[in-house]
Amino acid sequence: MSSSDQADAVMEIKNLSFFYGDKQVLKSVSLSLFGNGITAIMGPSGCGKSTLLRTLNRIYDLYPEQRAQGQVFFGGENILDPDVDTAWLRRRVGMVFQKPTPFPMSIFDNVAYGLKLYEKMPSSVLAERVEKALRNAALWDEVKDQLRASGQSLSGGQQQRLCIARALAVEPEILLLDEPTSALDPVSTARIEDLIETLKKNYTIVMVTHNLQQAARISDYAAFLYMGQLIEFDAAKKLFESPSHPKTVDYLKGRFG
Amino acid sequence: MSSSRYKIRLFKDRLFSAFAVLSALIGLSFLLLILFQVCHEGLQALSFDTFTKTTPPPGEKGGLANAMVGSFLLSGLAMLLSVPLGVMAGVYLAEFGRNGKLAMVVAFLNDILLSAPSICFGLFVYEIIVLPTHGFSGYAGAVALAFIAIPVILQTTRDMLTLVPDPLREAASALGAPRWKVVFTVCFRVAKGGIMTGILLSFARIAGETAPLLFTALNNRFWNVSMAEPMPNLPMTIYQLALSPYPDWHELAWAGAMVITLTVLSINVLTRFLTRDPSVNRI
Repeated sequence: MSSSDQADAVMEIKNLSFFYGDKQVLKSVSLSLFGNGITAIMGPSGCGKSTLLRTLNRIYDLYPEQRAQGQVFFGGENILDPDVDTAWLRRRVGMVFQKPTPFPMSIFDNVAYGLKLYEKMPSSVLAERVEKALRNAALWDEVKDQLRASGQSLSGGQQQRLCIARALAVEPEILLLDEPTSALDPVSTARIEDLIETLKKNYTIVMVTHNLQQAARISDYAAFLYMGQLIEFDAAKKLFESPSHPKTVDYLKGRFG
Repeated sequence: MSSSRYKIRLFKDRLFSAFAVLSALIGLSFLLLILFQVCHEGLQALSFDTFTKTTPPPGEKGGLANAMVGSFLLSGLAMLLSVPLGVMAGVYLAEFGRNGKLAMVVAFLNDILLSAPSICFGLFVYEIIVLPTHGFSGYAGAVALAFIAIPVILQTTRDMLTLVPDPLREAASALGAPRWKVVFTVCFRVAKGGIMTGILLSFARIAGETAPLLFTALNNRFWNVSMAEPMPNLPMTIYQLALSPYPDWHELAWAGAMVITLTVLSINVLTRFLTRDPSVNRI
C-alpha cells in the first residue's frame, strides 16, 4: 500500500498460507501491521480472518493438524520458525477471544495469571500491576470491591473487559482481538469499542470483525479477506470511502458476507 | 390438526410416561428392599462391640474391628496407587494424546478393563505377586483393588477434561502458559468436581469388592495392620461368616453388610452433594 511509509510496521506478514489438514484457508497473504493503530480484518464467514489472527501468536500450535507456511516478522524474528519460543511471542502478542473466557478463579487471580507466569514479584507489586491492568481495561471501578469474587460471576461485557485486562497485564506490544464484541449486547459493545480506541495509544491492535460499522468507526487500517485471499488493504478511510477492488465494493454494499 | 389425532398423541405420550415411571419404580423398589433387609437385620446385630472387637471364634461374641480397619487400609493403599495413575492417564488422553493412535488404543483397552470381571484382576495379581512372593498379602489385595479403580478414575478424568471448553485452554496458552500449566491451573479447576466424583465412586466400588481379594489379600481373623500379611477385610469376612453354620456369625455378617452398604451409600450421597456445589462445573 502507498501509505505504508508513514509508520513503521510492527509486524510483517509475508506470503502466509495456512492449512487445516489438507484444506488451505489462507492463500499467500501479505500484510503489514502498523504501530499504535487499529487494524481491522474483515470478510465474510469462513474467509480466514480468524485464522490469520490465530497465526500471529501461534495459538494454532495447540492443534497438530494445523500448519502455517510463509513468514511473519516480529521483533526481528520470523515467528513461524519452530525454534521461536512461543512463551516469548505470546507475552508480546496478547489475544482476546470471541466469547469471554474468564478462568474459574477470582477476578484478581485471573488478571494475575499471566503476570505470575513470567515474573516473581512481591504481592504488593502484583496488586499494583493487577490494579493498573484493570484500570487500563476500564473495569477497576466496577470490581475494586470484589476482587476476590469469581471472574465468572461478572456480566458478559465485564468478563470480556476482564479478559482484556488479563491480556494487558503482561504488557504486550500487540493485542489481537477476535470479534471481541460479537457475543455482547450493544451497551457492552460500545464500552469495549471506547476502550479499544483508548488502548491504541499504547498498543498495536489487530481486530477481526464481522461488523462493518464497527470497523469503520474505530479502525485506522482495514484489510478485506475473501476466500483466503487478501483482496485489499489500506488506510481505513480510503478503504471504506473509495475501495479500489470491485469485490471490496460488493462486500461493503452488503452483496455477500 | 384434528382433535382425534391430538388425543391419540396425548394417549401415546401418557402411555410412554407411565411405562417409564413404572420401570423406574420397579428398579428403585429392589434397591429399597435390599436396603431395608440389610438395615433391618444389621441393626439388630449391631453393637458397640462390632466396632471395637475382632472377629470371634465360634460360640463367642465379637466384632468386625479388624475387618473394617483392614478394608480401610486395603482401599486406602489401592487409592494411593490408582489415583495418580488414573488421573494422569486421563490427562494424557484428554489433553495430550487427544485423537492420536496411542490414545485411541489406550481408551479402547480402558473400556475393556472397565467391564472386565473383577475376579480376573484377582487371578492376575495372584500370578504376578502372590506366587512370586509365596504368600497372600495386603499389598497383593491393594494392587488388585487398584486395577479395578484405575479404569474408573481414568474414564471420569478424561470425560471431565473433555468437557472443558477449548477456548479456555487457548486463552491460557495465549498468555504464554506452557501446556502442563494450562492443564493444572485451568482445566483441573474446571473439572475438579467431576474428577473427585470419579475418585470417590471408585473408592466406594472397591470398598465392597470381594472377588479380587479372594486369592490376594485372602482374609485374617486376627488384628493385623501389616500389609505384608494376609489382610482382614469386610467383604471376605462377611462371606465367611455368612456361610458358617453358627447363628452368632450370621448376625455379625448382617452387621458387616450394613456397615459396608451404608458406607458406600454415604460416599455416593457425598459425591452427589459435591457435584451440586454451585462453584463446581460452572462452565
